Amino acid sequence: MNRKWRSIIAVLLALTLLVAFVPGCAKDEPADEPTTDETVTEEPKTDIKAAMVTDVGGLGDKSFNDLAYAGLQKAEQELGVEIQVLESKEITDYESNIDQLATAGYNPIFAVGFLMTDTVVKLASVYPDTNFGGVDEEFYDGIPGNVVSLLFNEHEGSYLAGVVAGLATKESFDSKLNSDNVIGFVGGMDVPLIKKFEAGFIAGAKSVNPDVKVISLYTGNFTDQAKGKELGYSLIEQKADVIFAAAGACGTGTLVACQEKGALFIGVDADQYITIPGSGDVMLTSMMKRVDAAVFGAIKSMVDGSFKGGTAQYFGLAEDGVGLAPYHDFETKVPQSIKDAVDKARQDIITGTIKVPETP
Amino acid sequence: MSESRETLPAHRAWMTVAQKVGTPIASVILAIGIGSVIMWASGYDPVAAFAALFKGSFGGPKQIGDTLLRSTPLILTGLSVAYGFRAGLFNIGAEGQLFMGGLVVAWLGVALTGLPWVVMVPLLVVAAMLAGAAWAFVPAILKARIGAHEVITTMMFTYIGRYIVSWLVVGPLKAPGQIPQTDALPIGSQLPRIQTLFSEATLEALPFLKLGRAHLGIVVAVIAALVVWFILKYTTLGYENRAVGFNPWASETGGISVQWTTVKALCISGALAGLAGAVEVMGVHHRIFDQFSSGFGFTGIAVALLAKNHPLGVIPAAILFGALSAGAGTMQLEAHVPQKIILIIQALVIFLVAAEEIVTWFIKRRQKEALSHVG
Amino acid sequence: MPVLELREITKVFPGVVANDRVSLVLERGEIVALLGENGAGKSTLMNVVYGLLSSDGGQVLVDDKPVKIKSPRQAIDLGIGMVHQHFMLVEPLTVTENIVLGREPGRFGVIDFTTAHKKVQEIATRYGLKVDPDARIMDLSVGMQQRVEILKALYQGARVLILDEPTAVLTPQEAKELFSVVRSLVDEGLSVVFITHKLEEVMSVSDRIIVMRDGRVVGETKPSETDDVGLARMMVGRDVVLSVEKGPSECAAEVLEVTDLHVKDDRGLEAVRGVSFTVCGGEIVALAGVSGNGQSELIEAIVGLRRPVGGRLMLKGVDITHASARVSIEAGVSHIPEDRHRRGLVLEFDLAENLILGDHRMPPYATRGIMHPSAVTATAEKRIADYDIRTPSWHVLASNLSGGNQQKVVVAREIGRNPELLVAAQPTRGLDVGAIEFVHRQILKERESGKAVLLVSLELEEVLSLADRILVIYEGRIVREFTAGEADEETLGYFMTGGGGTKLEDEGRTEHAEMAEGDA
Repeated sequence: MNRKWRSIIAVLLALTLLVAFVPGCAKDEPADEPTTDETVTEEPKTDIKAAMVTDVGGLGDKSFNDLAYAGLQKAEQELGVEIQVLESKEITDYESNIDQLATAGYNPIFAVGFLMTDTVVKLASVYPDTNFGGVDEEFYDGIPGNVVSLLFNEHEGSYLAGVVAGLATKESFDSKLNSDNVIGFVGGMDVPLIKKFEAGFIAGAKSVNPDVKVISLYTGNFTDQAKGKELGYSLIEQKADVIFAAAGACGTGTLVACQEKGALFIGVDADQYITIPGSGDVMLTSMMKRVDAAVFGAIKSMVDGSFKGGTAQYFGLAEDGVGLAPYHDFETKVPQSIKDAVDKARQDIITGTIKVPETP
Repeated sequence: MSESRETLPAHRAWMTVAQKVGTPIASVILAIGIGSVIMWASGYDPVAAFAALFKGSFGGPKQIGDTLLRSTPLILTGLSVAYGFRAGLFNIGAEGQLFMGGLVVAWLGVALTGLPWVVMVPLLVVAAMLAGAAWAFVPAILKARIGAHEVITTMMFTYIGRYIVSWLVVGPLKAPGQIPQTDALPIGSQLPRIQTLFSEATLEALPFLKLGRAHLGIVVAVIAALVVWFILKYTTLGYENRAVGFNPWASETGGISVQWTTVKALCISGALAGLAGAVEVMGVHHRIFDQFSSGFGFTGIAVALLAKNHPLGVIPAAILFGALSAGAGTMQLEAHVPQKIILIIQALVIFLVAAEEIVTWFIKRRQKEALSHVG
Repeated sequence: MPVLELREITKVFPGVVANDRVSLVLERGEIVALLGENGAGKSTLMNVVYGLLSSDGGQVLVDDKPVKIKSPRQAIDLGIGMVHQHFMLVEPLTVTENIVLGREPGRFGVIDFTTAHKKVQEIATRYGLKVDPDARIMDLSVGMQQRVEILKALYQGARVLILDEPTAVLTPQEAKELFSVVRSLVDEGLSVVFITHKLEEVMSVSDRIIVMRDGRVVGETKPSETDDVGLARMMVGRDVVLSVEKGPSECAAEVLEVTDLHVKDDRGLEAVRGVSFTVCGGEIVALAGVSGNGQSELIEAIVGLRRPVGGRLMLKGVDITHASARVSIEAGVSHIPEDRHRRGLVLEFDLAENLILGDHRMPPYATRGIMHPSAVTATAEKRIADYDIRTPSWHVLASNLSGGNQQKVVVAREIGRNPELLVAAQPTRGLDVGAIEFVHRQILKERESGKAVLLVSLELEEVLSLADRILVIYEGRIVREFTAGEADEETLGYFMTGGGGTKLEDEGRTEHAEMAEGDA
């Protein structure tokens, strides 16, 4: 028996070693080949190398890290730029990741998430010839000349989500809706950015349903799905039947709570009906934040030379920077009255008839 | 068998040393091996990946600096956990003690603005250690008095500590602006980056000093490791700590108070974790916010395990974890390997060290083999 | 035809020959005692036979056929069973489950418990090994667990049974029962090899005695042809003084004075119920009693490990009733604990560290919390030499020493401290004759140098040979006191087991009170 084990281990170890060294010796680098092919066939129109650094949520958050990356990929396809993404595992990675990209000659570099604001300021001065895009980053002490701040009027889109939720909770087009006239909001961190979502959502709901009760809860971060689920349970227990989550990856947990306990869900950032497969039974709609469009736009401005550093760009309903996703599975169920109310609210916001508050 | 042991001290001593150092190294090599298989199987080039990893962590002074930066808190939390283990205590709550240390520094460092650096820095360091010790004190007393298991209590205190920080940074201690964080520390309470201590000319002459982000915290951490080593080896405090860790009953018979030793051990462990929080705040972020620690307290457990709870072994163990973290970016950039692979390798190291029996078993088997061939 | 024969078995560990051309013959239906000091190579030899170690030379024959035994499995298949000192039972499983483990009757992986049960019962009755087949191992006493081990070997079809120091973990009563079981086994035709270092066991149970020393067989004899002294000489290789020579004791001054002491045990029950006695300098007072009659609690109270609930303890006029172990050590109390692995040694410490446990705070080993390694190692080297601790150096971990040498470490430390009072609990348990002689000599030396000694032992022989006065403890009270030469084993045994009842107990106390007065 001992001998048998010994030989098994020996074989395994030998395999491990083989596998570790043979491919390297053979100079077999399959990963690199397609990229070279691509650049040849694509015929690059530009030598711009664009890159992004994710926040600790990383790729696969089905929310704005993925969206920013989608913008980057679109630029790769349509503008022929070379792209690169570095994921951050911890806060300490922000600086070293941006630093490495800048050293490697990437320009522009996008820093996704407001937690990187300080780091961008610091490195923008170290690398004055590199352009930076700060997604969701508001620079209170002035925007450095080589940085463009990409901001969104989340409150406007959230207002529309509020209109949908405020009206839906009074309806009964789905069995998960009750007659208690309560809706819920799950936020990530209790910070001004997320407060904009909450403020817009409440204002939208109250505008169509003055008596509606809106309960808001915060997870305290953007990564803890269990916490998101827990808050989802809590809201449903308090009779909420439509829940809007603006909490990054936490929202996925809230979505699961809705599926388990029976409530409708409004997604955030991306069209989460598409990014989270299997969510169709509760996904009423999503409040999209077109980070992809903003990132793509910024790269495009680099390519055509219209990049304006030191400025903040706002993406609202008028710019199609925020908006509601299709209803998908609920398309036929949602009454026309709701759809009409949403259209009207959008027009009124664009024309300025409605002024959406940014704080609740 | 006993006779062979008694007559073969040199042989055995050599074996023990080799085993002590050998198993962790074997675990790391095995982890790298398995990691390579995983990379290869998912279509990446492991050699290029590890080359990039090495380049990103030790490729130049700046990279080494980055590795040191990341190793600094891990040395301290590793020491914290190791010291506890040496008394037979599993301080799983170093993370919470680290948060309290960081919090006290972020608060006092701003509140006492104006004090000179030479006064401020030692003051903050001591305050952070006291805060960490205080955070371990209640679990320590509960353990000593009613036997409440420290794994449960220190973990609970971690949650309490983290939530206190979460609340303070959005509430009473929040700096102006949209980010939930405290005000930045004044220069006078920061641990400066090592390269800022030298003049431009010196740096030009001695380029290896351009250690990028590495700050004086690494010096603090190494000193702490030496102090802990000295305590364990050359003081009655350390002697009693180890005695209680190995055999509380015999210690009691030898006139050592097990309860008091337990309290002291957990508080010292907490103080070291608090110090880790202090150097992170003073050297890296200069303020505290919700996610200022990426689980250093928990990684410290892995560091302590890898170091076999030896205070000096903690240094290379922490540097290994720091290097894995520092090189991850370059690995993504140059070998296009996703950083999740790094997480897998870290997890493998932890798993293999924890499941050390596997490796020891393998070594023992070979020893037995060797023995049976003698004569 | 011998059932088992060993020819020239040699086993070499790097640097030491554990078995040097050992030959041995075991006939059907006999008990052979394999006698030798700790480390003589007895266990190594039997581990070779049982397939746990591979030999480096020689031959094993079973029923006159040469065999190669590479694993215990093969040994079992050849009808060789072994019961180790440390049992290899699965604690949460029942007796039956443990016995059939590895050889479960039944088909297709379904265990036929009815058959298993029946078979176990059958074997148990046949050899007179009474045990509840449905009891869980963890609920059984050590003696019962050993019985299960024997049953397991029998169930597996053992014809040769090797018992490795079987009485080391047993009480005298349990040992007696074991001997009768072994007797009935050989009556049924089995052969037994009995590894031991205890002379009296060898004399009472074996048919033939094979003595080993330093890996070699140094002699073979029969109980009828030898005596204790002869065996001891063979075993140790020199004359061993088994009886102790000592002069009459002189009470210089009272060192320990125990007055109406009450102590509770871990369950909160009163284990010591009003005990009073004194120990003088230059006197050995022995506490005799059946295990569990309050001796442990009494000792723990004296050395500061347990707080008394009533009464008073005085050491040379200083009240140490509520002293901690540390204060008690500093006041001059040394303690050789009854369980050296648990209480006496830190097995993971090296010898130097173990040799100063308890003194580690005091100069010269430490000043103001800083230890002085040179002083520690100097003392270690001195004590290793003085107390004949067999070790290459103080670097060796305590766990790597044999039991006898471990005990010497404890004795060296506790006596080396130069205490006023030495409390020695079962100081010779598990030791071979050579070591016992040594420990006894050390205890007597203390007495001669005017120190007070309180000895607790379950071995009446030891009590009778060492003590100047003997206190018999029964159910937490001292029921009788004897002076040296006044009592014999039978009398002691009678009072130890509650003989005499309350009346005598009262008498004992009165007598004791008188004695105390007399002393004063």
